[in-house]
Amino acid sequence: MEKVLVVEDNPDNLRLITKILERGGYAVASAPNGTDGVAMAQKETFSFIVMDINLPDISGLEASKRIRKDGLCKDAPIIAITSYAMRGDMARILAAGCNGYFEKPIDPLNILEEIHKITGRKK
Amino acid sequence: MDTASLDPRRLLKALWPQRVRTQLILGVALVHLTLMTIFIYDLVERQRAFLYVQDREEIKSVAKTLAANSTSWVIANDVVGLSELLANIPQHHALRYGMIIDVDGLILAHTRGGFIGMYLSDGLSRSFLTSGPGIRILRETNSELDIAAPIITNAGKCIGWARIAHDRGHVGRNLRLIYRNGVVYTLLAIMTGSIFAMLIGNRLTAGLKRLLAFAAGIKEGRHGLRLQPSSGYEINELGEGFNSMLDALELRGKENADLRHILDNMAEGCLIVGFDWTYHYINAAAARQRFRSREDLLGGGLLEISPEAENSRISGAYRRCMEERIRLHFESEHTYKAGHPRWYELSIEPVNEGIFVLSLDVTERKKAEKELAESERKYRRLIETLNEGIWVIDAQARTTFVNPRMSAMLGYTVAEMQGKELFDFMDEKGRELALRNIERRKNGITEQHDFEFIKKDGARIYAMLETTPVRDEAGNYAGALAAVADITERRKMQQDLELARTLNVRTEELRLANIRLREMDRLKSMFIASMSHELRTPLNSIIGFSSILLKEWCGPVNSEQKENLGTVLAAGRHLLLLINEVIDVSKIEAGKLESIVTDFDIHDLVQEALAMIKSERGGNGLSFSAVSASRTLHTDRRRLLQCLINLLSNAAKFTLKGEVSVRVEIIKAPEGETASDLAEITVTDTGIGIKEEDLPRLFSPFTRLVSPLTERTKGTGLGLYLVKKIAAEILKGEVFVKSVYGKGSAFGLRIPTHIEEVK
Repeated sequence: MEKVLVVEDNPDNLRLITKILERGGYAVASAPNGTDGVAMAQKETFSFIVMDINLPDISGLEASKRIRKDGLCKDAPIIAITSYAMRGDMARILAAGCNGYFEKPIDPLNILEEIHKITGRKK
Repeated sequence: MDTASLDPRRLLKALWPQRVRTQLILGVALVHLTLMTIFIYDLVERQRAFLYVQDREEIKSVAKTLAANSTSWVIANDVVGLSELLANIPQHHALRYGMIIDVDGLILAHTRGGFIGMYLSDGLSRSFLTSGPGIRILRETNSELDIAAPIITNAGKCIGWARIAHDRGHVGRNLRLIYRNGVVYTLLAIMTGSIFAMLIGNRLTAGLKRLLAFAAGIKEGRHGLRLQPSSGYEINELGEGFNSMLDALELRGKENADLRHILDNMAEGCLIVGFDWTYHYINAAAARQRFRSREDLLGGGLLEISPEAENSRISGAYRRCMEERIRLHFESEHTYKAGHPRWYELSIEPVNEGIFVLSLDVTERKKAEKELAESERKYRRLIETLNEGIWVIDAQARTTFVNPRMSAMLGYTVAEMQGKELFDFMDEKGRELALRNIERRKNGITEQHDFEFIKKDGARIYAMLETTPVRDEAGNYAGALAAVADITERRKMQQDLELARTLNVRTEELRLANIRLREMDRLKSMFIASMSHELRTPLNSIIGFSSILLKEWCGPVNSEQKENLGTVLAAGRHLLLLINEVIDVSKIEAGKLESIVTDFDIHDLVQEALAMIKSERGGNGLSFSAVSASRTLHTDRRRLLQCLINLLSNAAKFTLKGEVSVRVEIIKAPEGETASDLAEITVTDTGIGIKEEDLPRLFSPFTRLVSPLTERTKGTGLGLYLVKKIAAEILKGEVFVKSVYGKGSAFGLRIPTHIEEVK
């Protein structure tokens, strides 16, 4: 089973995305904040990382930057989840090293497809 | 040659005595001598002549007498008688001889008897015989007179001659006697004259000696001396003359002494410098000027005393006067004592012995002059450069004085304003006012007031005047004086200042507004972000969980549960839609609506939109159709879809029955233009339509038209507004609407097929 990392501080959202990903056949590891997320990403290999932008300590973008710097997930796809999505956000998100993003609220039925589009996997 | 011509004169000069007395004596003597000599000589010679003539006549007469007497005897040839005759000639006639001869020369009678009967044979004797009758003087010398008188008969015939020779020596003797006496008398005269002359001369000399002594006494300084009258009238006269001269001299001397005193003691320095550059005279003041005493300077050499003065201007002037003999008058600065430069006014005149210098110390005056000039200059400059105009008018309101500032204020030159009436520089209204003002001046009122003048170029100038009346010596009104300040500038400056202040205030306001705006902007962003986040987060759960539940990811679900969950999901989605709309409007208002430009096919988009609508609203009896060709657009797909869905949704909402159709038309850009082609997407429905008067309000925010369907339709009123905004801001196009109330409407987008991405 492939392991994926979800960095999300809201427990409800975490539960939802975990459910969806598990449904998709992934083993989900989670981190409640950016720092932990970065640490985990650096130490373990994940198929991809779902990064909530709105995190309590450091922003998801910052976490993404750090992950991209070094560690085992340096090249792993990172998908950002944001509720802002304003002008320039896409660029910023991509600049931070993410591969794509979603806007909240997510549509559980489509999200996996979209993720696979981003990660470049067919499932 | 030289000596020959000079010699007699010099000789004469050498011989002639010097002393008058000697001259007198000598003169008298010479005069006597000369005159006496001349006189005696003249006398004697005249006498001589006379005597000889007399003698001659006498003898001639004797001869004639003899001849006459002899006539008869000759005729008678009486020799004895003739001899008697001869003998009877008086002795005093001093005859040497007498003779009677006949025409042949035969001596008929002769005083020396021996000669009788002889013939005269000498030439002389014979000479008269042959001559005609007439008395003949045969020989006439100073000692002898030989005369022959013819003896003539009554018939006139000459029968002989009576000849006598007379000894004239006595004449000479007499004359010599006279001469002798004359000489004696001359000598006597000379002597007496000389003695007399000598005496007089002595007298004269004595007088003169006294005069001399007197003069010597005067010279020695005994000024009171006067000549006493004595013998000698002329001397006395001379003496008196002398006395009066001395009196006059004394008077003059006193006057001179007075003048001298004045000269000595006057305040002006006065000196006489000789050609030898010594001080012939110097008064006390001049000595003081030179910081020395008179005694030090008098007689001293100017350049010896003050060698440094040699090249001074003053020395130069002295020299010039001495050489060119011209009068000089000038002022010069000179330092007689080191550290004490002073100014002197000098008058230099040529005089006989050199130059006369009058030197006045004018340092104080010069200082005062300088101070006065300085003061005047200062005041003049003050008035000239005063930033205020000065204007003086006389009693007839004519300009007597303006300073340059004043004239410049009105655009004239000082000369142009001079003499002109005050009223020339104002308009009608101003003249009235000015007249009133002048009245106030006449009443002695000094005040400050504003006034409007007219400049040369016709412009108006605002001035503030401080004006006061001017009075003449008698106290009558003689005009007015005004200090004029141009307040046009001031006014303008005030206005400008106000403006600037306002500007500043505005700028500040703007700045603050800007800050506020930015703050607002930031807040807006925060609001949007926050809204986004806060509102969406719960929705995430609502939609998410209801979805997965509905999909039986957590276990089986019964139909009632499914229905309920469906309601929750629908509600959630709807809420999301509403939230999105609001957030989108917020974003677009804040200019923060993101836009992603991609290439896509319009046909596919239309189909997608229709599919979405159908799934939402399908089954209402509405049919949906689309007419569009494939065409690649390069614009924001998502937003275009959003608009299209919005329009379709609206169409569906307001159409009870009928059709909703979509039509896509490409409008080509005009030939040659670089603009993009346009895509016209029209959504037409057969719904309730829109009233004419409601059309303008359609696209306004929060506008919901009152319609029969209002109750039934849900909406925020932002839909069309958002479409309009998106169409304009994002898709760079426009919306349009056509409607017939009751029949249907057509809403459309007209957008460029190709837009540039906004960075």
